[in-house]
Parts: sequence; C-alpha cells; structure tokens
Amino acid sequence: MRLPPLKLPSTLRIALGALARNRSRSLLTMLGVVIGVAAVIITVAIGAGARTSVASQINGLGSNMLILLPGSVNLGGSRTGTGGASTLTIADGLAIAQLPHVAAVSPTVTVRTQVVAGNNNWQTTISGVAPSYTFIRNWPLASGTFFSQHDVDATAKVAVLGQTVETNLFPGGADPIGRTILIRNVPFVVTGTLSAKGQSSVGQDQDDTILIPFSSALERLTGQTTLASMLVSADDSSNIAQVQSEVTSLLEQRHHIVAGAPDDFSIRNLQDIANAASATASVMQLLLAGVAAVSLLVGGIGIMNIMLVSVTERTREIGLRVAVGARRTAILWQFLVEAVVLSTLGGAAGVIFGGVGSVAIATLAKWPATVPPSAVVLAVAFSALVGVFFGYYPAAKASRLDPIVALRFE
Amino acid sequence: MATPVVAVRDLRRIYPLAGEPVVALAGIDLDIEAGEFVAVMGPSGSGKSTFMHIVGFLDRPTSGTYRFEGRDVTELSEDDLAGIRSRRLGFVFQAYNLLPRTTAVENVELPMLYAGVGEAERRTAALAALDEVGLSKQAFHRPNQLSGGQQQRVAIARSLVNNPSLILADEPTGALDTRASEDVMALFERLNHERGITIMLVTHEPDVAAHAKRIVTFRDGIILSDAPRAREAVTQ
Repeated sequence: MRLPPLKLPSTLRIALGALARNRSRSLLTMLGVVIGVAAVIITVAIGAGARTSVASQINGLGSNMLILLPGSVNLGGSRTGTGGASTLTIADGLAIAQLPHVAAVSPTVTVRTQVVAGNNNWQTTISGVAPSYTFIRNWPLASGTFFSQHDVDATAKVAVLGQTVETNLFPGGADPIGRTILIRNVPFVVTGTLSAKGQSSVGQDQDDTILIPFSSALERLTGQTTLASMLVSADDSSNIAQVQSEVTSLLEQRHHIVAGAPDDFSIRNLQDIANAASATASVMQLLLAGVAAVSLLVGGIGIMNIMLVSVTERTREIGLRVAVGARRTAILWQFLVEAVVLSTLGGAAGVIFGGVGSVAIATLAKWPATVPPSAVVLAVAFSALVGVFFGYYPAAKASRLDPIVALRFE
Repeated sequence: MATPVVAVRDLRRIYPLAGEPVVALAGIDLDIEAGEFVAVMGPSGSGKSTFMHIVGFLDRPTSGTYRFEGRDVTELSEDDLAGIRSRRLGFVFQAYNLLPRTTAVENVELPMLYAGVGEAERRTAALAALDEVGLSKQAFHRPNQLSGGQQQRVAIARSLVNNPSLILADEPTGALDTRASEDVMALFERLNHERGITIMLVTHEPDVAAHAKRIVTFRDGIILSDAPRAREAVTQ
C-alpha cells in the first residue's frame, strides 16, 4: 500500500476530535488492546522475575559451586544406589583440593540433634565443615570469628551459630559469643554468628544450623570417617565444567571404578539446576506470551470491527467532510490515525495496568518482577502496528465512499 | 463581461444502470454570473439534484463542459477539486449535516481545517460567520441544543466561512417549518444582497424559489424555463 504524505497536526486534531466525540466507544475499543498489552507486560515481568529469582537462589547456594555426593544421584536430585553411600573420605577432599581451578573444598558432615544453652534448648542441624565453607557458600559472618585450619587440626570444640539457632538459644538479644553450648552433652564455645541467609530454593530455613570443624564433628559426634557430602568451588564460573570432569576422573581413579561401571558418587552442578529451572521458566513464559499474542490479535480485530461499524455509522459525516473540501487521503488518514491513536493509547494503558499487575503479583507471590524498558517500548510499538494493520481496511473503505450516497445515508 | 462563476455547455449525465441507462441530464447549457441568486426547480427525477452535485464537484458529467470560474473542471484531479471545494464552494443541505456532539463554532471551523487555516484565524472567522447568521450567543451550543432553524443557520455559517464564490443549497428549508424557512431564506437574500455571494438553490417549493432573483426549471434532464423572478414561478 502506498500512502500520500500525511499532514499530521490537522489530521491528528481531526482524529482526536472524532475520538473525543465518541468517548465511551473509544474506551471500549481500546479494551482489547489494553488487556493484550497488559498480558504481555505481566508475562515479560514474571519471566524476567523468574530468571532473577532462580539466579539469585542459585548464587545464594554458593559461588561456582559443585556438590559432591556419595552414591549415585540423577540430575533431578532423587538419590538412588544408597548402598554405596559412605564412599567420600577426607583424603578424597585433600586430593581434589590439589586439582587446577579448584578454589576451595569443604567436606560436610551433618548431624541432627538437640542443642542446649543454659535454660534453652533447640533441635537443629550440626554441620561439620572446613574454614573455606563461608567462602564457598558466599556466607559472611554477622559477628565474631570463624574457626581456622588450626581448630580443624586440633578438633577444637568451637561453634558458629546460624541466625535461627542464635535467636532460639540466646533469646532477648544476648551476645552468644564466648558462651558455651552443649551438643550431645559435648561443650562447644561459640566464636561467631552467621549473617541471615533466608530460605533455600526448596523452602528450607538455611539459618537453622550450627557450623563446627568437620574433624570435631567426625570425632566427637558421629564417630565415623566418611563424609555426607563435599562442596567444591571452582575459581571461575567458566571453569565449572572442567573442574567437574577432573573431579570425576580423579575420584573414579581413587575409587578404582572401571570404565563403563557406574560411579559410586555423583556431582550436582548448580549450573545444570539453574539451566533446568530457567528452561522451565522459558516454557512457561512462551506459553503466556502465546496467550498474550492471541489477546493482542483479538484486540486488533476488535478495533477493526468497531472502526468498520464507525465508518458505517459516520457515513454522513464522511460525506459532509468530502463536501466541505476533505480529500480522499484526508479521510483515509483520519480513520487510520483514529485506529492508531486508539491502539497506541490502549497499549500505553496496557503498560500501566501490566506494570501495576506485575507489582501486585510480585508482592503476593514474593517474587521479583521487573518490567524491562525494552518490553514497554516493544509493546506500545506493536500495538501501534496493530492499529495500522487493522485500521487500514476500514479507513480505505471510508475514503472510497461516494459522497453523494454518503450525504443521503440514513 | 466578467467570467461566469458557473458555465456549463451541453452537460450530460447518464447512469449506466443494468438494462436501460438512466439519462439524468440530457444537455444543459447554463451560465451563473457572480452575484446571482438562482433557484433551480423541478419535480423529483428532473435532474436538478444531479446538476447540483456536478456543479459542486461531487459528481462528474458523462459529457459536455463545465467551467468553474473559467477553469475546466473536467480536467482537474479529485484532489484539485477538493481544494477548490474547500476554498471556493459552500454547501448547505436539507438535513443540516452538522457533526453531532460538536459545538456550533467547531462545526463552522470544519471547512477551514481542510483548507489549512491556522487555529486562531479559524476561530475568529468561525465566530464572525456565526455572528453574520445571528448565532453569536449559541456559538458553543451543540446541535442537539439548537432548533432546526438554528442548526440550518450554523450550516449556512459553515458554508460561508471560507468566503466562497458560490454557495450551493440543496433543499435548505425542506426540514423546516414556515417561519424558520422564511428566516433562512431571508438570510440567503441578505447574504446575496449585502455580501454579493453567488447562491444556487435547489428546491421544489415555489415560495422558497420566489426569494431568488432567477428561477431555472428542470424537467426530464433539460431546462424547461429560465427566467428572472416573476409571478409565473409562483403559479407553477
């Protein structure tokens, strides 16, 4: 379609005047586009929010972290082959620490037990870890000091409390540092407290924990020599895959596993979990985007319908405009601009409603929702395009009316 | 002698309908000089409406020539005609054809919008035109707040706002009662007499036509009579 030049100011004035004269019809016409664009904005906001949320939860688990578990575990996380569950040793950990691109290694030994401090007691998870644990998990202290390699070597009876444990064992804001707690009747001195970490991705309270040296946990609490798991941190996110394969071959060699036989350990790569999660989010977003696109299309057809009705209803007006000197192209432009103004205003209103809706959903679902500016621009531009596309046919129809017939139209 | 506003020679208009073509105009020769007030009369089907549409560039003749202010209209493009229509022609219709939900002054501004007149100038000219038809007080009323006669006077203000050389009025009193009709016709007479605006009026009512200075009667697509205002027009 080739259009002659447009005299925008007067055409816009004429179109806006015509829209203002039919306010309620104009608003109803916009509704379809409003809903369509609002749906697009909410979809994008939720999608972006989901990515941010997944990324922050994964980051919250640890930096460039691999989780090493005894027994074999599939990617989904459900454990199988639990018979071989006691295969990871401290010696494995020391060997892994020597590999290139490994920034830190921390074994973990967990015991769930009752802890007593003065008159208070609390059931919690005791984790025996290495001094590098706070680095691997990105978990700074709130106060005091963390234990050192010296404490590990000496199987020292020192403990660092998570926030939940601190508030339950030392209520009323009492300073726990230097105080003694009893873990299975073994006295441990509190040297520090951890900052709040919040819930994990599966809703577990990560602050409900006490960290002690792994050597102390093995010797004084479990009496075993094998580890529950091991955390390995790569020196850079780009090296995670390399570290994973090196750890795998190192452990296969150390555990004498022949080629082709199943491993007696497994490695959970957080990147894989993140990818799976964001893939789920993408599918969801695609689905919502499909719904949004359909509703925008329906909104566009709505505009075309109303514009066609409007052309019929205003046949005499069109005849009169031609009689007082409007060119055919002026009529074409008037109706086209009306359609584009309707759809663009609808798009803008949709952005506002979509933004409000996103914030509401974010507040209710405690889910970060961000509306990227590019989505706003794209949504408004697309709705303007919808106006052009669906407005052209009614506008062309209006401009082709025979003025004599139009003036006599009842 | 000055160039006539309208000069048609052997004007024919044939509608190519299925079956037998309908001859609406079968050869019209007519000049309308500047300052004339012409009533075109005739029964329905006589071709008078077709003639008015052609004179107003809303329709084109099948053959013959039409010169508007000396220019051969048949050679002009549709856009050129729209331009002339917005600056040199004014229309008044039986059904007023005002835009609904739009104030009188905005209705009067409409032709200037298409003629590309600036905003301030538009408003001044529109108010002056409304004053001319005696509706200064109703300038900001909407059509549904005005009587039929007042609406028609707004339409007349709209037709003269661009200082046209010719106003075409198609049964302008057809929807009005006797008193409002007299008012409207008196207004046309005054505009013709005082401002020298050329007026061509189409009607089938003899008492309306009696206000004109010259009466042209159509029948079966040809001019039956063309005479200055006289008693025989009333007796017809």
